[in-house]
Amino acid sequence: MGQGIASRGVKPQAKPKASGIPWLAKFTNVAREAGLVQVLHYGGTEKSDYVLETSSGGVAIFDYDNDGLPDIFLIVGSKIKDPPPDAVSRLYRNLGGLKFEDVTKKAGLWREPGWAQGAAIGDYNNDGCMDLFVTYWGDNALYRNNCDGTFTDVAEQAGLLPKPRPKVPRWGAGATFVDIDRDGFLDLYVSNYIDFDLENTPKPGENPNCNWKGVPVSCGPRGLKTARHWLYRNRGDGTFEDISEKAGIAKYNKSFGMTAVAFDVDEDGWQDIYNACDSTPSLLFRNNGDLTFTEEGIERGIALNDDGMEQAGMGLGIGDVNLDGRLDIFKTHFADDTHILYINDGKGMFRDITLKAGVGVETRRVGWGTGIYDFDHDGLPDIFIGTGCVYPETEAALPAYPYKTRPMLFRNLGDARFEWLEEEAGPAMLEKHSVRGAAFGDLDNDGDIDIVLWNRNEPPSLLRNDLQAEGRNWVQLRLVGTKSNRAAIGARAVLEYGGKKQARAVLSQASFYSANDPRLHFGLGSATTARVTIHWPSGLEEVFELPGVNTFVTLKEGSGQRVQR
Amino acid sequence: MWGFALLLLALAVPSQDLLGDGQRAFARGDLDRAEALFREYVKRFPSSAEGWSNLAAVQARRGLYAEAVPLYERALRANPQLAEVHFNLAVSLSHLKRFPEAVQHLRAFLRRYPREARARQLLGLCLMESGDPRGALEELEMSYRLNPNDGSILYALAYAHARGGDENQAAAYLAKTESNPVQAKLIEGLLLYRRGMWAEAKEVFREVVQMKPDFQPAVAALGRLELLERNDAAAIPLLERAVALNPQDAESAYQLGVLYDRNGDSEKGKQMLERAIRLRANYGDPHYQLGRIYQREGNLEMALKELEIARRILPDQEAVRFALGRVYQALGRQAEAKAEFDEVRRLKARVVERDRLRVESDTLMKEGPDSR
Repeated sequence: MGQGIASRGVKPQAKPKASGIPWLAKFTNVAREAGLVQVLHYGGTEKSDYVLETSSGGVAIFDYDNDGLPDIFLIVGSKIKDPPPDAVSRLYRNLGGLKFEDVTKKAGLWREPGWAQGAAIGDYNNDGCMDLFVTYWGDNALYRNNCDGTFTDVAEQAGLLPKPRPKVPRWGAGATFVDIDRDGFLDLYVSNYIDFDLENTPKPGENPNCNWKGVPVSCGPRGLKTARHWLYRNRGDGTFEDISEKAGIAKYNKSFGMTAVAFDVDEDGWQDIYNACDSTPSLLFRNNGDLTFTEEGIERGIALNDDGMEQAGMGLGIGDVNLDGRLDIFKTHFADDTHILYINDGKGMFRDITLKAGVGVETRRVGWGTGIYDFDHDGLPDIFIGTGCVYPETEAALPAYPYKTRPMLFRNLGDARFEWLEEEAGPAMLEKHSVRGAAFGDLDNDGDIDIVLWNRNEPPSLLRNDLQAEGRNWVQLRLVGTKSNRAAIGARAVLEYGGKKQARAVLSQASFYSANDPRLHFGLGSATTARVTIHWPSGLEEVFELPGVNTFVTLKEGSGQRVQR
Repeated sequence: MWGFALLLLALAVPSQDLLGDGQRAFARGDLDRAEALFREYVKRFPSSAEGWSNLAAVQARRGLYAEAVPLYERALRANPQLAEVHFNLAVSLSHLKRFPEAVQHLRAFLRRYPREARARQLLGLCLMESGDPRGALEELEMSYRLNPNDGSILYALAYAHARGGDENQAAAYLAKTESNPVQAKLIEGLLLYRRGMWAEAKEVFREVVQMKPDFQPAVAALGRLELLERNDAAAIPLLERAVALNPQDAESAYQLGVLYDRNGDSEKGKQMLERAIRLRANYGDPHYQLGRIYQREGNLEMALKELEIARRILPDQEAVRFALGRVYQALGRQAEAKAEFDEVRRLKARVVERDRLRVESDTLMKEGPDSR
């Protein structure tokens, strides 16, 4: 019974003495009043026999009808036996004033109950209307936005369904639109979680390897078959070509893929793909610029933790926590491990600063959806984590690991140091749910960031941010590509304000299987002016002087001051 | 691993003094001298299977299994009839977790010595790890019939049945070990630990310590469990006591070194890790930990030295290869770093596949042979 040489050797950090700095952003759950009432069915409520029932649940915030109000799409799953007829993913139209209407049927999104997983957004046909890609254990769906308030699933005609049909369904997990060849059309990366055969997977207790801390639980992912991942190139005519093999993606088939994000990790002008993986090394597919990729996660320091151990990579927050104009990565994990914060040196090399940053203070809660956002507009981006245990049935035997847990919020104190806030951040922070996905966006267009949480087998939470911050400013940027893809997916903005510099990116997927409001939000502190450099996915770099603060600004590619290199 | 002693080679000793002197040096534990003599011997007689086999045995005794394997293989090429070499080679392969290859060599050995109980036991364990639990149980049962007084076989049988989901049979074998209740309790605790039932294992170890307060293996086991559960404040005094009760316990010294370091006393940690290295030659884990400490302190030269030693001893340990890769990277030795990182990928994929095979084989065993 050796200790094993690779133990991370980290106890939860002690929560340091509170800074005493007032926290001005208070979150209140207003989901019921807002009309978000559909139960998010997903597997068993008391126990789960299969891993399929335990990890899922994306949320997407995007303006599907271009009325200026961000709408909400919520994944709903199924049950192993007798799924209820209302187990259907939902689209809620934003009516204004934080009121929503379920338009699922009207929008053509009603589909028989199935094991939906995650969502990715992007305008793949550049018609100015945001499309939606939904992964499934089963057939993935590409919902083309018809620009009239309806969608059509065109996955089959777009060439995104497997032919011939596989013996067991593919388990589509994380997915992201990404323009890999700078042709202005969004390509598509789809990670798969497990090569999962429901019929031949042991149930809890049927196999001695399927337990957690001695309690029988659903088997997996370890012990089950790893899956491979897929890359589809957009031909520009509404169809896609599977280039997984020739792009060098297919051969990486020894991982359990989860959330996928795409941005220019090493700032060489080409979009890269980072795939958080569960219990296996996470993958960084670095774009070689010739429609091929090289997997460099380990080399660049974001595949494993500092001890060389794989983690349960689930959710991904992308933002600039140390204000150096580079995009950093926050990744959430399972219990008995810390979440991890990687700092980007700008050339795509990363450093694990989890402990130095003070975000290793809690290790009992399983982390899922996450985001790096400046919730209190002090000019420093904070970190939010949705949490919840995987297994509903273990709490009785393991009371230290409850099934429903509170979310976590880390305020940025500057210099990439964080402080854990609980009740200071409002009543919603004390609510316990088993959260998976989380999406971030300004749902009431009041300038601050609200949050939608996906609660397993419960209705969602809508955390309204009631920020009272006189003298603190903000700005939100809506980017429109012309040479680049129209939704500007993959664009990186570096905002300079009040002597600070902060990067954000337009992402198709992030958090856990979720898509955030594509408008880029910046808190500015007391700064009243700002300029931004946009690194468009086409390769163009432009500077824009912003007309003011506390406003929404639309920036069109080609209308700024070109940066000469 | 399983603590198998190497079988002494029952070979006709050639007349050359080099070989005889080497074997005497080996017997008295002077491994450096034995190696020098055997190397000289094989230089003079490169086709001598005995020479290569003895040289391999020196490396195996040092725990350098990765280096022993090719030497044993060379001995077998020189004389494929040497059944004992098959056994010794299998022991080294099993230490390297190359179980399917070990199985082949054990079968070759058992064709010549079918009643060798320890070989059957090792074969059973290797089959278990190779995903053949049915074959594993057959071999372990036969091993027990051949040597019913060997408690370690009882433990292996209990473990195999527990892995196969037959708790009753596992318990029955455990019950047979109860002629020595303290030892039996210890084994019970170890079994619980292996099943991941740490809380229950801890209770059992506590009972053992109550029954016999100075029973060092139980004190050490309890300390290690506390360490694994990150109860450092409880683990440190337990492991300090374990080291005091048995100053030769290299593993407890190593664990204590880890604990001192992670609780902010790196200097004391380093001292304890160095002590573990002195106590057990070719102990890879403390070299790795020392390397990590030096790496953290920015002493890349010392980190490189320790991690390269750790890699020689533990070539299949992903964490070692990862840490070494990062040191190479920091030193600008990119090609060597890349080689290490590629090895990390390969090793991690292998572990995932092994987990899958284990679940699959356990499931098949539970279902019976005709269920698919």
